[in-house]
Amino acid sequence: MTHPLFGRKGAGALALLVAVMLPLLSGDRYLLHVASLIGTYWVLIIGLNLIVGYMGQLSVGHVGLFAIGAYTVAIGSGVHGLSPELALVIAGVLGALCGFVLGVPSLRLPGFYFAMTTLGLSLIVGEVLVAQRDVTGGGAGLPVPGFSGPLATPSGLYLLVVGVAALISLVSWNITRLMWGRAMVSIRDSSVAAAAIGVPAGRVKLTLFTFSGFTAGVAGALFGALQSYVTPETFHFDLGLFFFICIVIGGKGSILGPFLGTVVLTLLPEVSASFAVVGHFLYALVLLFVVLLVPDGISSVLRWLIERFWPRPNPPTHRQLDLPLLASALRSPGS
Amino acid sequence: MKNPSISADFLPPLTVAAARSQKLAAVGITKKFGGLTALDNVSLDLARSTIHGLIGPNGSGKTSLLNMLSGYYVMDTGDVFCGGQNLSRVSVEDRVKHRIARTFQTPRLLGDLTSLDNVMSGAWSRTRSGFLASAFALPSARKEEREIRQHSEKLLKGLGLGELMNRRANTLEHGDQRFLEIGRALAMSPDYLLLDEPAGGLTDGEIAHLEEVIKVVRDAGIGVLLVEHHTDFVFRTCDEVTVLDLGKVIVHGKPAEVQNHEEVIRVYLGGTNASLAKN
Repeated sequence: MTHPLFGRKGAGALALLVAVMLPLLSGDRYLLHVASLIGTYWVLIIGLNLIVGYMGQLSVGHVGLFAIGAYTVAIGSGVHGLSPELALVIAGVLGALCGFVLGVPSLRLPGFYFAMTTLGLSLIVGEVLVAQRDVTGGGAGLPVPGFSGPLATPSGLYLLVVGVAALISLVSWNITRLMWGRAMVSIRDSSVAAAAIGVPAGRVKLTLFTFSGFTAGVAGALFGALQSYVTPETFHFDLGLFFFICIVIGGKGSILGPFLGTVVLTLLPEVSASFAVVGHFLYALVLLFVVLLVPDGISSVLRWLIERFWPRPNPPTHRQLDLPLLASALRSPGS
Repeated sequence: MKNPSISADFLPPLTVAAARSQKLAAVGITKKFGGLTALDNVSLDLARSTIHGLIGPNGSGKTSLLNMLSGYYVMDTGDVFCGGQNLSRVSVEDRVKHRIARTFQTPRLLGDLTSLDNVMSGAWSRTRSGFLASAFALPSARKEEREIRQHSEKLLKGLGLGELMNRRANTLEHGDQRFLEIGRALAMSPDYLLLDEPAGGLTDGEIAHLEEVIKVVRDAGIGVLLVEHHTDFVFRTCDEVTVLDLGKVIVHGKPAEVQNHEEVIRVYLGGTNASLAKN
């Protein structure tokens, strides 16, 4: 408790806990719904953030995986009578498989060329949902059954969403802080450096596309249960762009930044709904503001604030070699 | 070619010797870029516990040769062997597993990450923890991370960068970035370290540090290939020197022999022996 950093971390955790519990305690159904929506979006964006923010692969196609997750529950549970919980797991697995497929072109195609193939996937999924009327209900869509037991209530569903989001956030944080995170950043920032340290870029990319597909599938299933009805119209390309923008506004190589981006961009249309005419205008204004003034995203502002208020002392300009230590490090290469 | 002894009868004697030696060896390498011959039947041995200088005028093929050894370029003819294995078809990433590490003329660091993370990234190929072990931060993955961190911290302190450990790499000065990149290469625990003009842009004081570091690296059993422009520095530091000109080896030997070699003085220094003769 005496350590200042621990104190700050503790305060942060407490604030987060209060924020998470607020929609529950407020008793406001609408607030609870919006908070659940943020949570489901976030489950997808955590995975996508590893792809876009850490590996620098531009994907706008995850909305297709999101749709696959939602329709898996609608068809599996609603039509074929599987338990919704089982359908949730199947949605994750199916999402992971499709995520793997989505990632394959990234092995060959750089930047925007790859982004176009992901756009292609989201369009194909949309078309299939409309065309395969017998399976998907076509343009009219399908009802999605809710989860059973305590998860059937809005607050139960909210807690499920928070739990899943917390677990996947933790996993994502582990991935980024350990060795895989460094490999991912090397793929993003310097393919030459990545090769020099022996990172198998293809394997790392496909592994993370599979993981992000899993989170997208799970997010889609939660979203379906939350909306209780899905139509192809819901999973428009715009939504894929929305996910992408949340990360761009949040900033690359950060988890907190994209989280704040998701919260702000989900709340914005809801808050401005009362003056609907200016709603889109406000949305565009925020985007323009961020892109022009803080092109590196929210996380760069946070970093700037930290460096501004907790500056570190300048290091000495004279370097002192420690050759015996270097020699001992070279003799015992650790693992 | 996986097992060189099988096809030994069909190979030239030099190749057979290289395939069997416990060295990093380039044998008869030729590389053309369009009409330009960058390397013309060049052979070079890099033994462990040796500092091997590679000098030559601009465009003589020094960096091209280093790029063949590390796998960034594919050669037209010739082979690269390491510890008796033919690496000619082995990718850059997989050469790290054969314990070949390198640096670049312009340091290729991960600017957004801290110095410590940059050095730790060098240990990727030694990391045993898989994706799931990392994702759930299993005890084995955390222990491995801790060991790599301790080792990397030692390397950084040894290289005089202890105070800069938590700075982002792109905020470091040029000289510090060079030492940091060497630190990352050493974190790979290499048998062979290929340095591409490591003294470029360094102050005299930093070059003196570099010399001390390279000698410690050599004494730890690592073979160092030093591609350099600073001839003084090379002759002072190296155990062996190879001189390239127009893609061909002109001379190879001890620094003292090479330094006074007629051909070297004529070709490399354009006929004036003043700067070499003063020793």
